[in-house]
Amino acid sequence: MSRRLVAPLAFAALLLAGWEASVRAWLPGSPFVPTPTAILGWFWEALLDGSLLEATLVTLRRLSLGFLVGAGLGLLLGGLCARSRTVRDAIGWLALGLQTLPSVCWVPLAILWFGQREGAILFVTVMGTVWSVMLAVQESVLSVPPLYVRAAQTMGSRGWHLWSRILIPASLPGIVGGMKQGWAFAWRSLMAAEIFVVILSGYGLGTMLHDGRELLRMEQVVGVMAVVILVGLLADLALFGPVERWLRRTRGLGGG
Amino acid sequence: MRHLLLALLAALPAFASEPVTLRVGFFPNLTHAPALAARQLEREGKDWLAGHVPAGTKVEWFAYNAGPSAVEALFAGSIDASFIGPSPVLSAHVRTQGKGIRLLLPIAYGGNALVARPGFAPKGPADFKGRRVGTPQLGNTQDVDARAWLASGGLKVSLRGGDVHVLPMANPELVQLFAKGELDAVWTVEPWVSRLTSEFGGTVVHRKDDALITVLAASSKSLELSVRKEAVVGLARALLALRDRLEADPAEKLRLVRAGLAAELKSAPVAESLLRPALASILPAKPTSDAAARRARLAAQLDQSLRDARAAGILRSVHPVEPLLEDLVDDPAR
Repeated sequence: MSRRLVAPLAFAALLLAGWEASVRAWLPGSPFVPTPTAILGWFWEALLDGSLLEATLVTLRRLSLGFLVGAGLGLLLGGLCARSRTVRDAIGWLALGLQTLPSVCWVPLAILWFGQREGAILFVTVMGTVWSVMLAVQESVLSVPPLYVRAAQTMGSRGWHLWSRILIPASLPGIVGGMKQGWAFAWRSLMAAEIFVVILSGYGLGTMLHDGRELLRMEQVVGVMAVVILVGLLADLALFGPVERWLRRTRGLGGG
Repeated sequence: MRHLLLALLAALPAFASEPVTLRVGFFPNLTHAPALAARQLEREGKDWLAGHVPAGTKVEWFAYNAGPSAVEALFAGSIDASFIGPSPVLSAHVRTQGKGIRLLLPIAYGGNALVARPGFAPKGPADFKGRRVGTPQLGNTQDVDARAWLASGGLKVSLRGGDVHVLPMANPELVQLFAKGELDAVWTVEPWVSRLTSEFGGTVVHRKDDALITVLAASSKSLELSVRKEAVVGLARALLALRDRLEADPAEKLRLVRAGLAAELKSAPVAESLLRPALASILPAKPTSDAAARRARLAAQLDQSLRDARAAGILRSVHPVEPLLEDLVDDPAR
């Protein structure tokens, strides 16, 4: 493990040193390209005055809420669609269509409907999440081998029993994959919404990035970008990593 | 081979004297009235540049909502010069350590105000505790003025909150939220100030009539090549001549600005009764033969704005303002 860390760390250090040196050599004091030290300086300041932590918390709160609502709705709708041909025919095409619509397109309507408040952000985030989760759930439940379902039904499994013992366990890898995708979409939608919409309540990471642009503080822009990447990585490692490892283990796929 | 080289050399001056196309930024509001008038003259097929710029020089115009986006365009090389407020110029100046931008002309004073919504009658900055104040863009001149003024009442103002929330957003959005009562007050420029007072029942709480509100600034890059510099300085002189002409003929000024604004905003012309007082509240810079005093006065004003921006947290450091005025174009009394 430790030997595998050497290569990426060395590469990162080299990259940062090269970046710092080339900016200092060719573009000293440029308002466009901040040096890594300037970005670190911004980090330090923003950490000390609490603004970075506050913005991250605001954004994470919006993200979790949006994701929970979006994924919950997606699970429900996806399950319905998978088991009922009528429902699938009725809303399948709608979901497919809306999934291709970048959720930032909802911003103008969201502002009119919910005002420039949390409601608008929540709506945009949910719209970015729900359709992809729904389609993933529908697909993975539909692709459970029919033989399993028939065998279970022969043995008298019905309703919730069939769902909890056969359909959900069999389609879990696909559902988790869909959730992961939904999480990624929620994150993107939220960032787009925060950057484009002036929200009267709360100051999130997207607003912070936008302010960096307005004030020509590129170190702030890059710094916030780094935080956004970091949050994404952490969510992936802490939230989905264990679930995926457990899934692989219970399916005899080893530690991967 | 040698002939070819000679031919190329001979062609060089021809390249160099190729007509310059100047790209100029402005905002479709009354504090940029000379730009509106100039654009309107162009629409009517009149050449307001003739005699001031090298023959063949063309001007292309680009509209922005507020200063920071214009500065971005100046630095990215998308435009050569721009009508702009002093605050974004100062922050660009500081961010490039005095190298990136030059102020060519002060254009106008006044024309901005803080307007409170109906039902909110503050007596001073201290009454804004817990309130929401809208400004046209983070770091623009009104945004800095608003933060400085609110702070002068003992309120803590920070970029993300504090005792009073200063919320920057585009002018049409400001009007919308003001009308809905979501913003308690708005600090912006004409014609938006007049719209807020006449259409939405707002009252003017505070005015800054002596404040420098619009300047003409150019990127240092556009002043490097002598041909381009000649055109940029020519543009400044043409603007001074245009100002003299319009000040001598207020009816023509009103007509041009009114038609120009309507064309810019793609809307019906604003009523003359509304436009006249709004336009009158914006005072064009006056010509003076005392160049040194003019420069000193400008430097003092800019220095004050610089300190306000520093205090408001818009700027993290300061830089002497003198280099900014290196290419100031003289405006002698005629």
